[in-house]
Amino acid sequence: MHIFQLAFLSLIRKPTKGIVIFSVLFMIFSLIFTGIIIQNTITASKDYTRKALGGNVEMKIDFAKAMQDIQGASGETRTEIENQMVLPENMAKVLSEDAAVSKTHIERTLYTSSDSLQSAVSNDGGSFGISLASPVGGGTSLFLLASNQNIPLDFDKQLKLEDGSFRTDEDREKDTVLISSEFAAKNNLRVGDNVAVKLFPEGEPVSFEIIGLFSGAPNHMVDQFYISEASVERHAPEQLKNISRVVWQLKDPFDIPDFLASYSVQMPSEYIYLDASTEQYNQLTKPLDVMSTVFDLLMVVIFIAGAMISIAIVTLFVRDRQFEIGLLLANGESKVRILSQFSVEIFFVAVFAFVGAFALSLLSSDLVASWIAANQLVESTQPSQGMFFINDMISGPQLTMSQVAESFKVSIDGDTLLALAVASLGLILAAISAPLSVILSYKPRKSLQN
Amino acid sequence: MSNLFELKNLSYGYIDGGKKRMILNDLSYSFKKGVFYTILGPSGSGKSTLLALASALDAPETGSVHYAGADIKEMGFSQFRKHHMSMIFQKYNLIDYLNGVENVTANMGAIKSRDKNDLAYKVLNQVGIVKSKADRRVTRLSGGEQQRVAIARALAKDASLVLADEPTGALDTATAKEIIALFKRISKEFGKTVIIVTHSDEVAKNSDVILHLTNGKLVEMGSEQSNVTGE
Ligand SMILES: Nc1ncnc2c1ncn2[C@@H]1O[C@H](COP(=O)(O)OP(=O)(O)O)[C@@H](O)[C@H]1O
Ligand SMILES: [Mg+2]
Repeated sequence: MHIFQLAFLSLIRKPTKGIVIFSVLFMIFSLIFTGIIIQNTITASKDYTRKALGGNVEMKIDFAKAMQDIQGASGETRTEIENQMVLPENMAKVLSEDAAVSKTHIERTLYTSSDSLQSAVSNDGGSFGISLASPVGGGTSLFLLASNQNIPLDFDKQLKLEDGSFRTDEDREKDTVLISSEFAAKNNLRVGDNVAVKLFPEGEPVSFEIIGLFSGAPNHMVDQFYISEASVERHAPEQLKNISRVVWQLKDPFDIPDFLASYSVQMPSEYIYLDASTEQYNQLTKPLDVMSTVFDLLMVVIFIAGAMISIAIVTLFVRDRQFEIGLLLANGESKVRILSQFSVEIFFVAVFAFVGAFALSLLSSDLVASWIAANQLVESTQPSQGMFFINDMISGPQLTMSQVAESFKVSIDGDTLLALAVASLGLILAAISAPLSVILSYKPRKSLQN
Repeated sequence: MSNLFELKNLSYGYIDGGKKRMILNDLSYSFKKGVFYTILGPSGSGKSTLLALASALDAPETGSVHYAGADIKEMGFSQFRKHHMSMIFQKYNLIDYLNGVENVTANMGAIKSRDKNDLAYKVLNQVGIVKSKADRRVTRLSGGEQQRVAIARALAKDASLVLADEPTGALDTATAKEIIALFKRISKEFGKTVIIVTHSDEVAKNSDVILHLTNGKLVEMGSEQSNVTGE
């Protein structure tokens, strides 16, 4: 009789062993599968978080460190440190030429004043406590933000275009400006109007066409004018000195670690550093990392315990069949054939357990995804932020809980299936090693005794 | 008649309480084809040990076993078991998740499965197992019927040597008689060499040759009857 036929009859007609082995394997497989799905979901949610945070790297000045070092330093050292607290123009250029970079934002702030225009900053709340010093010679203080890009960085998150449009490449030749709707209201300005602004306190007034009004600016930013770098170049190129912000937009957020690694060391001073929302990323993903480690450990424990239980159970069943083995040996069957039949039986049961556990894990993966999203992420961010909003992002869309949960629900792919199959096969081989050694150790005569 | 099966100078002992106790002592005997032998001896005299060596379930310490002139050690123990002999025990002779006919076919050599089934039913019928019983799980057959299936298996396998260790030990007297008659029949009709180990004189009476296992040696009844002293 063929061993497959024998194995099949053995399972069908004496089902107890099959049912017990199935139950044990099903339980262990389900636990391992759920673990793997949790791990995959964690990876997916980390990737999503990384993507949602965007691929932006910003060069920043470490004010805190500088202040600390300046304290108690001699006048000479102090000046030296102060001289280092400048974003280096050459670095901005070097990094912008990296293949990973898709766009480089360079912004410079120009301070000026106007006699005719009225400040829209309200003093009633004084919420930010920023006192705007009156410019020398009186009038209203104004901030001009000159950007090398058509859409300034602030519009990625905080500011919204309320009326009009952004600058386009075609109107680079023109002097255009975006102003806050508060400022426009205060000074009775509209889209299409022109305003005369000096680019520096002693400069000649330049006429800018208002092409857009924005809303969403906090009180201290309502007097900010968004102009183009090209305008400054045309009318006061000597004012294009200090960079106030540099942001490199990478094509792929996953390039960030490499980008940081290769350029952080090239920063010209210890007070200049590259930042890529790593804070937020780490803060958001830290509980996931902890969970991942816990589940890694759990899975190792489950795997070892599972293998031990499987070995014990399979060994018990093989011992239970020692008369059968003795009989087969006495009839001249080879140990290899007996072993093959037993292995086939276990594999057959294991396939059922695998399919069952896999079906169950399909159901549970949705639960796992929403559980991680609902509990782990919210809990981790709530104490500090109240809501799952990444407010400090340099740019990119706001990342909300529901978005995260939505996007990593589907986590069973080919790789997952392969991982599940490998884990199961490992377990089965461990379980089969038991009957292997038991049967190989059998002496035909002994197994027929007692 | 030719010597089919020979035991040559077999010795075997067990270590008992740190001391070696010899069970078989330079035992030699030649079995002839188509003869029905019984080996008699009280419990503990070493009958099962002897049969284990004869059936290659165990190896002798010294001496050798020969089948058709060849040393079974050189032939390979499992080859010898697979092709030349069939073993029947007191009980647990059958695979319990198979029915009668499956137990018989599971042990057959390389012939077509269709022919196997036909032959199995035929042989089962010859030993008194009708088709309806042959199709039954062996656990639902009586002890006597189970032994019949085991004998049918031995027959269908077409090995010349049938060894049995107390095959009637678990049966009532009437059934035991029928089974012994069956053993006798297969040695006569099918020319098998049957060697049955028993402690029952009743069983021995039906055989062609009665052997006594005494002091680790086989002694033929009649020829050297003077040597057989009661134990
Ligand atoms: N594995 C063993 N270890 C030690 N002594 C054994 C073993 N098997 C059998 N014996 C002893 O050897 C003797 C012969 O046993 P056995 O061949 O089974 O006798 P029988 O079948 O004639 O009753 C007995 O005294 C028995 O206790
Ligand atoms: Mg015995």
